[in-house]
Amino acid sequence: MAVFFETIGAALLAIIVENVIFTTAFGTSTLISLSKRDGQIFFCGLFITEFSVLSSMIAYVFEGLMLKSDISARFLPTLYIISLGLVYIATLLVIWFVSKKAFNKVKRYIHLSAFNCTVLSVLFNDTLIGGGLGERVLFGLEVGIGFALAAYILSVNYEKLNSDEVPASFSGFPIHVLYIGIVSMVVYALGR
Amino acid sequence: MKINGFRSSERENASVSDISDLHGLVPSQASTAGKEAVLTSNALLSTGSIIAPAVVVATSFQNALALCIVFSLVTFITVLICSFVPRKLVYTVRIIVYTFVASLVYVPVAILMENIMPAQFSALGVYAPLLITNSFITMKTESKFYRLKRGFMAELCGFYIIGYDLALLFLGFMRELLTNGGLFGVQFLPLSIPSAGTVYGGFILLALTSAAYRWILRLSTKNKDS
Repeated sequence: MAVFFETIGAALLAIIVENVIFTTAFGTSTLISLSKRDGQIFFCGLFITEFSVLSSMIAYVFEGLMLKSDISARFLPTLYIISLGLVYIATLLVIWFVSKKAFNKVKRYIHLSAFNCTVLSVLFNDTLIGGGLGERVLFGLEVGIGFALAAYILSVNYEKLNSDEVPASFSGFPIHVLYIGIVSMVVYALGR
Repeated sequence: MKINGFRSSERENASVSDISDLHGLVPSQASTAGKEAVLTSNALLSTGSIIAPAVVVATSFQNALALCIVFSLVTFITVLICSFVPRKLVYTVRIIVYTFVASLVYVPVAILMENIMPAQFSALGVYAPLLITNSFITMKTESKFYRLKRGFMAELCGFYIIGYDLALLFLGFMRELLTNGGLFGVQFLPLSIPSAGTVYGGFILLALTSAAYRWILRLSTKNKDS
């Protein structure tokens, strides 16, 4: 049991200390743009986790073939886009079959969760690290949950960040980035 | 028939905010549109698009320049090619086509960069290929560019790209100056703030630059009004 809790603790620490937003800035623009859309940000976190995990599994199957020659290796980004596209279409089809109402809601923002640099970075890093399927799934989960955590950290202070007390020059985008920068500094200090 | 830069059929479908957003954008008023794209709606400093590479790898002027070249070529060529994608295709498929085209355009751009700026391109790491999903390609194409006639769209897209590039170069310049107290390896200021080269330093500097930029814009608008 102690090992289980230690593992969970280590995973949580990794999600914070190696957080995708605060340490690599992947997906910051997506996060800020989604923060304006009330209630969608957490669903986006879920979708990002799903897209990261499933597309990295598809990419894993074909990656070996692509890496066989220097020429085909140059087209790895294309493989990633095809993998993402397949998961994107499959996800939309599943949602459409389950609930048409949910489909009409989700189709307005699901593309933001699929085609962004957070998900794509998972696929690139998978190739660079060169781990097995299990490691890739775990990495995809870590990045997706990390994004959701960053979304939560941004949302808890959403009202303060958008209050009238914020000076006009800082209101909107600058104050959000400044806030993310300060949290990033804390995460950096924790990681040392 | 074209009204205010919209294709007429698309103008009917565009929302009120879209129409007011693009009101008056006709080829003869390209300078106004360009001014908006470069200044008031600057992609990096006003709307906060494509932040990650700016914050992480634009730590020097040369890195920022390499990033600008990759971004400009990939984005402009992709937006132009994808303007031929039929609007009849559903958006789900269109967005896959856009990013697919971008991933193909990236290949010759990467080869070019490996030959002209090998060290700087290498320093960009994974942030260079990630530009194939930048918001100009995945979002602005649909919300703005493809609602316009192709010639004018290309011009406006170019202005938006130039606006982003200028802001990125300024950020790279500032970060190199603050980190090393000089440029291109030559130190000429008694200054060294290593934090300016970190990720959190990048976020904070971007926020401060954006706020200062907005303040200057407001000031100039006030002066004009008065």
